[in-house]
Amino acid sequence: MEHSLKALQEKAHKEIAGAKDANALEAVEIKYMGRAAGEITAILKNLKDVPAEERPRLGALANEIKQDIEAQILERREALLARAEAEDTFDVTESYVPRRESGTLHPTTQIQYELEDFFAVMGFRIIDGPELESDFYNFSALNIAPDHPARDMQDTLYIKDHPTWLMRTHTSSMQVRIMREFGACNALYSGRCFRNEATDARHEHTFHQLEGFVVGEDISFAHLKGILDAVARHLYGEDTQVRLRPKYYPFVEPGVSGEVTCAFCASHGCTLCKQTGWLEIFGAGLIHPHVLKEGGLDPKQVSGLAFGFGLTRLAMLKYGINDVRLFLSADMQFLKQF
Amino acid sequence: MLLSYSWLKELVRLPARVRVEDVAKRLSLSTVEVEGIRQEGADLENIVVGVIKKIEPHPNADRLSVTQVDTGGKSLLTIVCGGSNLRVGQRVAVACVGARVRWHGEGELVELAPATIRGVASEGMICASTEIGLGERFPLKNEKEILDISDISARAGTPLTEVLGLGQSAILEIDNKSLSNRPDLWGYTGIAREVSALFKAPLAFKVPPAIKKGKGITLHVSVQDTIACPRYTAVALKGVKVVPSPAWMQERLHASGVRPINAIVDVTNYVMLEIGQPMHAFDYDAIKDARGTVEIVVRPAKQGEEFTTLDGHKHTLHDKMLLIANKTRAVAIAGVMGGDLSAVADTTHTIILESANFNARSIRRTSNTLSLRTESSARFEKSLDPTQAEWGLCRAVELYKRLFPSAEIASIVADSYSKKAKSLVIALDEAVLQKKLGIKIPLKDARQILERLGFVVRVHGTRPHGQIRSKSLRITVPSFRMRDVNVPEDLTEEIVRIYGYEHIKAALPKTQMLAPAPAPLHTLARVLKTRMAYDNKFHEAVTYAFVRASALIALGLKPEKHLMLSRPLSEERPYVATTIAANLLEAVEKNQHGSGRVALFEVAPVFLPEYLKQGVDDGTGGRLPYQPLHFGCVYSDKNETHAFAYVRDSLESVFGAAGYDLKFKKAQEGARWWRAGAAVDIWCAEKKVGYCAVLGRHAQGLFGINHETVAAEIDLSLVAKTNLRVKSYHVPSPFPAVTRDVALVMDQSVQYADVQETLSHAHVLVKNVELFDSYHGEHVGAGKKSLAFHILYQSNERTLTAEEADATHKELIAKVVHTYKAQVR
Repeated sequence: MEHSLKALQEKAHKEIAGAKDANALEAVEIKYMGRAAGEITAILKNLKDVPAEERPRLGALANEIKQDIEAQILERREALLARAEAEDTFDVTESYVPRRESGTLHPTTQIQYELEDFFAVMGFRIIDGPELESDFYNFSALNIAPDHPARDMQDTLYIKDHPTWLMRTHTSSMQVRIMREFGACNALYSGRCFRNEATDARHEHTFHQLEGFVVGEDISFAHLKGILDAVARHLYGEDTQVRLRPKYYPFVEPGVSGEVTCAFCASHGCTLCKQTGWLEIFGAGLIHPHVLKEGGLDPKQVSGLAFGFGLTRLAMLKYGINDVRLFLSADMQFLKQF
Repeated sequence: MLLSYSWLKELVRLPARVRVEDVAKRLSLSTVEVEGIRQEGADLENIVVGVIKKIEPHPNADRLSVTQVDTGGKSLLTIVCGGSNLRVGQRVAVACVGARVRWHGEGELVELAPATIRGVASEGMICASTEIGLGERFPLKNEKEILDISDISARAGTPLTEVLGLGQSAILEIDNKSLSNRPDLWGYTGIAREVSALFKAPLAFKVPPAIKKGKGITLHVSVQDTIACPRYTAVALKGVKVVPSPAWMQERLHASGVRPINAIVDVTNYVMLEIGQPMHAFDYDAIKDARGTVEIVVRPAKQGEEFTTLDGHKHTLHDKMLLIANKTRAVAIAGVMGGDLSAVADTTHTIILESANFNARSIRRTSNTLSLRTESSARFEKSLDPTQAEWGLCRAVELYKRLFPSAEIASIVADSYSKKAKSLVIALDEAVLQKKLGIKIPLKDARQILERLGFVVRVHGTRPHGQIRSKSLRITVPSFRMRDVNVPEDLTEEIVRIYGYEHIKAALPKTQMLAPAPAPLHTLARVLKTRMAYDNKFHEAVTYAFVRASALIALGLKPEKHLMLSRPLSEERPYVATTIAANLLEAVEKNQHGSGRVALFEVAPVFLPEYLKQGVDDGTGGRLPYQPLHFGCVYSDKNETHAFAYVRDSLESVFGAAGYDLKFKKAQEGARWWRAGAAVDIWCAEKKVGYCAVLGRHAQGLFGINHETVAAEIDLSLVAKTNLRVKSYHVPSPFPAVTRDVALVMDQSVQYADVQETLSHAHVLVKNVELFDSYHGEHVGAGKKSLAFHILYQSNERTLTAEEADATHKELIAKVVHTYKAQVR
């Protein structure tokens, strides 16, 4: 009995060591340890036939051998798994079928949301408004005189048979609307704008703007600079500088155009900044007292600042897009890239 | 606009240390956009005066000559030349090696290198005017002609720039758009005032002397429309001649981009450039009447009246256009261009000089309608100061007398000035200035800035501002700034832009907190867009708000019920959209030749004229058309057999994520463009909010789409008005679940949703029913389909045994088989 146990142990050792893979090892495991017909199992079952005085010793020996074989199998299994892993036939490049791909948000939407989040954190209300506007909100309320060239049919899309209806030419049409509804507040608004323009690589009659204002007590030009600095750094990095130059908009006074140091050439001059080192990205100013009055506010009590971006322009700069027509092309080859 | 720096420097006395770059930079930061600085004659480097000493025929080419040219060096240069007008002793422009020329006047500038031309070495080039950028100044008479400058006395070797009076001055290129609100900057004097303020430099020009009236010619002016022509001044001047103007005047006109013509015309242009006042000189003989009297009438044109301008073009006018006329005929289109018959001619000896003021809008309308833009109309369009009309007249007379010492005034100074502008005084308090800008600018500096810009400033004592007393200024606006300076804020801008925006220290406003306004629509749109893109593989498109008639008709809509643009951008898309689907379906056609999968969505407003009551206010008591925000999507995939289900489930999931439960009910009455039966109405909280449908074959054809396409459109404004779903949950069971599968074959007419419903509610142990395959085809027989489900069994009280799960499963199958006459597959 003792001999046959030892022989069995030796045989099992050899077979375990000789198992070339997980299947072979499992076969060995079943041969010796299987519940129904395993050889070790059989021996343990047969212990009851051994004379009583031999039973404790043989029983202990059999158990010891059983445990030994189990340990050997475990060890061999680990070794086989380690070897399989080491051989590395795993193809990390293989694609899942069907292909997993994501859809995309339009590039102007992505920049819009990024800026909305930025301004929301600063305490701005995000507000939407009509794209088909009245000439009052789009022009008159903004101190744009009746004979201002911007009102020409040349530049503005009017609605047939409704001489006071037009497609808004800028998001500034929201200024007085918002003031009338919410009073002095911080507001951010964006969306499609329209101008009567022949379309080419640099001109598109439909484009996106994002604009905001702060109206409150003691709002000054220094605050306008503070906000523009913060946005510029958010968009183009901490080292970005802002430069303001006078620019005429009838609804702000003073009115400025804002430029940032060109992030694409570190201000050394490139085609994007037309070799100047500066990129013009916003228009801004202090809200004209006429506009505050139209908004139902008293220019002696409150003042305001306003600023606007061309979202389309920001996207063109960010991605180096040089044909503005792609934005409204609904061409998936274009859209898929964002 | 081109500005000669040397001319500018004559009008403002700049310190010697100031360079043209400094002026350009400060102007750009404070006044107008300087787009560039051009050194006049920079392209003429290494081009010198040469004198031809000898001409021989070229040994190998009939049309070429070999010349010996003196260019001031020790030896003569040998130059091969094909010029047709070469002669010995001629003074010519010689481009030496290193000069840059434009071959035959075309293409880019190319640097000249020594060359061998048909076997003869050539050490330079005798230039035609067009080859060195002087074509406009010295027009070619024939193609082979070289530039002959024999009548200018200059020694051989003199740089050409020196001969032409170039090279001394830089030219500033100014972006006209940045001048649109500053009529005063359309003349050198206006820019000079800015430079004076920017560099604290004194101005160096004076008001021209008043004109003393003369005798001989009776001159009478009557203005019929004083709104279109607020002021008209004129005077007769005799003793002038059509001769070239002096070189200094020609140089300045050239440098400013105006071509010299003759002394009489050049003076009018010179004054226009100098002070921004357009002028016109009429030939006296051409406009006088039989008695020698000049009677000028400023009147509207007759409808259909014809007029030929001095450029030879014939125009047909209408009654909103203003004419300058005498008793018998028109002589000029007011403020735009003179006529051919009254223009200064070779015989002109006496002129009627006009300096007037015209209404900006009237000029703009005339100039636009006639497509006739001139230096004059460009200025009048900006709304000029009527005061400067008089200044212009005096200045022109001053210049004529300088050019023609014997010239004499021959009439009274006619001046029709209907309504003199009142002077404007604005109060500005120091404290207000500080509050607006957020910095304190010393009052002394502010005052100096305004004064240098031409404002008259008076300190008016102090006024209380809260705790402090603040100095108050009374500022008189000069006539030339009354167009753009009206309120204290305008003065604030004047001060700060000259002071420098860079001196204002950035600061964020002190906190102003407001509760956020609820914006469920904005939130819904954002969640939808994000989920459609990132969870459901759709691409967001942005399309136009304008649509084609054909697309509307294909969708069964009536174009005549749509708003239209009064001047459509293109003939094709005159209608303002009432649906997003139209443009998206067009996009399917454009995209279908790519990967075969087109999945687009858009969120945009539509414009519904018939719901005026729901529209927002127009600010003047009326309402705008209702503009609900719509969501639209299109889907077409040649590898997808369940496109409709894909779209419908995507919608259910994205709206669910936003907190809105959609219900889909088979559309009972189909729009004609839907495939019969393949459409659902979409409901949200008892409101019908949209549809999802498979495009019918007919509509598919109209859009030119090749594959089955699903379109959906939902009114988000309606959805956002419903209540957000309150999410509920079940306590998870701690006991393991058991899954069993079943595939059932049934008639195609059986609806999946019914089977799903039956299975889900057949037994309390059924926790989840999931379709994992749907098939119809040869393996299940005609008119049949197979639906295969995973069914999850689970108890909340105990661990299910396999036997129990099997028994329940069997019971479930029996029920479905019975209800839907199905077979287990």
